Amino acid sequence: MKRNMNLIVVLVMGLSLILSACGPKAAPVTIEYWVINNDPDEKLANQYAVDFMADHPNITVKVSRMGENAEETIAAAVAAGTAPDVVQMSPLDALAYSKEGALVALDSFSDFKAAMQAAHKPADLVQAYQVESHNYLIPWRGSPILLFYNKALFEQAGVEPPKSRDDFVAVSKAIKEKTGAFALGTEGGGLQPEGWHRMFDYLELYDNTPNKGQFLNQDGTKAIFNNAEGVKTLQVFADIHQAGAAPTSAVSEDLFSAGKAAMTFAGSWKYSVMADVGILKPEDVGVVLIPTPDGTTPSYTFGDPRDLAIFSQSKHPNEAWEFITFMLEDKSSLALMETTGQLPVRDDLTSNATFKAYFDEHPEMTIFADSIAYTIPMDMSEHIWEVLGFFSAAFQKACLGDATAQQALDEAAAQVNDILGP
Amino acid sequence: MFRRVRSLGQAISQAWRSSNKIAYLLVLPFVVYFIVFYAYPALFAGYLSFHEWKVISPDKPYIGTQNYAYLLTDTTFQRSVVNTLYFLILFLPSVVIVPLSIAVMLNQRLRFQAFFRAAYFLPIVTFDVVVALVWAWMFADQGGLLNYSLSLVGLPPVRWLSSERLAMPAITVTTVWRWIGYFTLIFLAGLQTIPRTVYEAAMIDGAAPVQAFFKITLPLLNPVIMLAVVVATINGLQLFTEPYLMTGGGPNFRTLSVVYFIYQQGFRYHRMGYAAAAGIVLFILMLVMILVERKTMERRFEY
Repeated sequence: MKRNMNLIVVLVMGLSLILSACGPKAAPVTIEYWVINNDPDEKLANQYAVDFMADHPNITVKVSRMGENAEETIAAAVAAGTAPDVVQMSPLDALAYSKEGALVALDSFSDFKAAMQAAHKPADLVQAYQVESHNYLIPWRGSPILLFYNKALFEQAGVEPPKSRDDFVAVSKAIKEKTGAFALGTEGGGLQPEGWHRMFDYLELYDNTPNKGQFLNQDGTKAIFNNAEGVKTLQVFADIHQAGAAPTSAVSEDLFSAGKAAMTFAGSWKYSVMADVGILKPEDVGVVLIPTPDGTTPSYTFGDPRDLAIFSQSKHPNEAWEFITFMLEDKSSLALMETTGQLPVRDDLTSNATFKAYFDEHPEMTIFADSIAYTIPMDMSEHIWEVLGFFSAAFQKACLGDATAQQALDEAAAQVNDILGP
Repeated sequence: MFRRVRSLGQAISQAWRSSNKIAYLLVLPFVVYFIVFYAYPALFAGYLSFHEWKVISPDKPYIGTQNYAYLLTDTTFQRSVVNTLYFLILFLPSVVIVPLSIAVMLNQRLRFQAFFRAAYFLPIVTFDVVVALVWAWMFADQGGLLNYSLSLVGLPPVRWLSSERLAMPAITVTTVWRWIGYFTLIFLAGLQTIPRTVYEAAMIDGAAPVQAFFKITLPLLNPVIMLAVVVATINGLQLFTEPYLMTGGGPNFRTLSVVYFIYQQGFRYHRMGYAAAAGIVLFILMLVMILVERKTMERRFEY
């Protein structure tokens, strides 16, 4: 009897195994990943998708490249209910989405903390990204903005890269005077009033003031950019523009990459832009830290972050999270550097053995890697784009000499305070 | 009452039976297109203008006329309305006088007439973004074609796009250049409908060419001029691409058009209800202007 029972148990177990093997497999899942509008990002995303799908045969990752205006594309998709599962997003945009419940609270995943630690995400940054005590965004990629300079133009002008704010103005004037070239050719082409342009000129110097790059007070209810620090920083750019050392209208070409401007504020992506333009080689340019008020270090800067989020509309948030954690792995971080020439936001870039060969081969990237720790997030305010819009109009006005720096900033501050309300 | 409804139903069914059903089928694609892409969005915009909608939020709370009330006190919106009307004041006469003059010349017996007609029409088939970028380069403060030309004759550079006074006129020049071909074609078509016999009779009576232009051409072209003015008003009030690409709405918001304002509010700041209210105000402004234009310009001349 006992023997028969054993036989029955073995048979039942065997049958169960056979049935489970023949039974329905986990249903295949497709997740969508939207990337910003450039070739290296799209190439990296496709590479990630292929590698991830090889390890996860049940999950298909569909990569889509967003158009020129990624922010508008995302907003329209969310409104239409066609948002992707995973998206690249800047923290400035993520704030509004988080508050409206459009993003998944990533700290709701049980392995969130472990994933952040494994990916060496700076703890203070993860903390700074919190909105109402939750993390909706993973710090992923950064491009600390530093000062690029054209060695030949500097040599021709007989000047050294600037360390202080005053040096920056003096060097700019000397370059204009002695070479005839522009001293400053900012990203985005000339002096324009759209808010984002200020992330690639004013903000870097402003990050090094006691205001720490913040345009609003701590609770986001009042403009502070018109205080003495804001005015002094704006005066630097007003002096440069009024000396004719930077263009005063829109410019359709990249003046720095074309060799027509001696300096620009840019991230490491500038090397690939220079290669596309084909005039300057990496050895023709130098990169230094952002000039500080008195020329001393540390030098802080804007990190130009591009991070990762999952939309609440996602039908497969668990698979989306799995894909994100894959993108945070060491080998994925290395692929990010190799494919895009940019850096993952991690605190072990120069100490992790996985990345050593990359930095040995690309010594020019070390200064960017070291600067990751000195990047400052912008104001976490839902109104930041409007604030930047008013500020930027004031910036243009002062640079053109149509108002003093103080007058222009006071006027913009009044407009900003008006929209922030009582 | 019941009988009246029945007779109405009968009338509709009779009309349907006696109508050309193929014709309904042929207009159906446009009707569907119109409903999906024009009528529904317009009605939805009207609905949104009384609601607060952050685009990214599923909630659209009803807020009555708050969006409209806020528009009245919003100095940036007011500035955009003033800018747009200023643009229109510069744009309307330009797209009537310049293309009409060209059309009159092209209507003469000219050598290479076909070439000139094609050449004038070229800007309208050129992508507006390309036009704006090329003109931005021409107007650039430093290294621009215009300032370079001025320097050749010893004149100082002019801040075409960065001056509060000149930026909108510079944008108007760009926009007029883009539309010249379109309006020239309209006027040319109008000119060719005027019988030669009317001019011949006037010449026999001793009319000079200038008199013929003012007494014959202009009056008989009135319906075409009115059409051009209405089309130009509709397009002029929707100014966007040129300021967006050439000046970013600056300097000091002096080239911020109403449509640019709507774009910023809706897509940059996610205030879609507010943007919709601005859109409705623009629509009303457009409607009023067109009605005024029709009332003041509509004349019927016959010879």
